[in-house]
This record gives sequence, C-alpha cells and structure tokens, in this order.
Amino acid sequence: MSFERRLRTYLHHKASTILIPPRTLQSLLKGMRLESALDDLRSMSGEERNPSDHRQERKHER
Amino acid sequence: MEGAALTQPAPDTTAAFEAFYRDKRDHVARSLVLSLGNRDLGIEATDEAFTRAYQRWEQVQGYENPTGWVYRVGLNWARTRIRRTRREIPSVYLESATESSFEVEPGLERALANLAEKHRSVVVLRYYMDWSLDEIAGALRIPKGTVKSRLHRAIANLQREIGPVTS
Repeated sequence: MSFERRLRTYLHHKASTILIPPRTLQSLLKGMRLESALDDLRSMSGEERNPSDHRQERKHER
Repeated sequence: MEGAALTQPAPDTTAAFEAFYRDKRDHVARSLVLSLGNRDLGIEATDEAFTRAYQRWEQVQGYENPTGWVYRVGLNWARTRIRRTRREIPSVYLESATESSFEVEPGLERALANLAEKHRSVVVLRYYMDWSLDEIAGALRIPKGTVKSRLHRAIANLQREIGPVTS
C-alpha cells in the first residue's frame, strides 16, 4: 500500500476516534447572543474592546 | 471581499443554514482537530467559524465552497489564539491510544504531531477531506502551486521521520 494511502486510512481512523460533543444550532446561537450581550455590557460600562480584537476578527474572514 | 457586516439572516435562510450546520459541523470539526492537532481548540474554532458563517450566511452560501470558508475562518481564528497564548498545546496525535484493532504505523503519529500546522492542514484537506488541489487552494486562498509544494514537503517530512517504508 502506498504511503499516501496508509496516511489516508490512518487519518480516517483517527477522525473516527475524535469525540465531537453534540451542539445544536440553537445552543450555538445562544452562545452568540451571550457574547453579544457581554459586548453591550462592556460598552455600557465604558470598557472598550481592544481595537486589535476588531482587526483580528476581520482578518479571520479573509 | 467575504467579510461582511454582522447581520443575522432572514428566517428562511436560517433553515438553509441549519441544514448546512447539521450536515457539515462534525466533518469540519474533525478536520480542524486533525489540522490543529488539538481537540479543544479544533472544536472551539469550529463553533466560532459556524457562528460567523451564520451571521453572513446570505453571502457565504453563495460561495463556491462554503465548507472551505468555514474551515479557513476556524483555522485563522485558532492561529491567532495560538499566537496570543504562546503555550504548547497537547497533541491529539500523542494521546494514549484507546483499545482498537487498528494498527498504527510506527512513528506516524509522532511525525504528524511534529509537522508544521500549515503542512498538516494541507495533508488533512487532501487525505481526510479528500479535496482536490484546486479545492484546497480555493479554501485556503493560496495558489495551487503552494498547495502542491506544501503537500510534497509534508509527505517528505513524514516519510523521513518515520524512516524506511516497510510495506
């Protein structure tokens, strides 16, 4: 068996052993809303987010 | 430019996103865990990336490879996280194996753990996701030639570290 083929077989095996905790879309969106609420609280209390955080967020999506 | 204002999609597009999320989430999570070499980081990156995809779904669903977009956003998010924490992260490849009849090639897991993340990522996209070189280039937004050279170097590094091929 070629090395690439053995590598593919291993990666598929390894992936099957990785437990991914179930997370519903509703739970994901709830987390998003909590983050957003926390940001609002921070800005209400005058605590500014680090400007570099905004820059980093843009960077991830490039 | 794919980045967009933080808006939530209309209810009917939420249904389309939900189908995408249900279909792709585990696959993307596993590919990010394998690429980053760390389970917790890979899962967190997945959640972060899908959240951003949801916020921009009307755009993202029109891309050639929305899964590739989610993968790249997750990978970039995790890279930033790694740079900020500057901590050694435990490798999923070096975890003690659970009972399994699968025989792992000696040295392969250590070699994968030692591989640079940018090389491991193309290996995972090619051999786990089974994407073509063009698909990988599109997802990572790098030239196809770079994908080829990274893949070539990754395979060479893995083989060198494992030692002579026995079968």
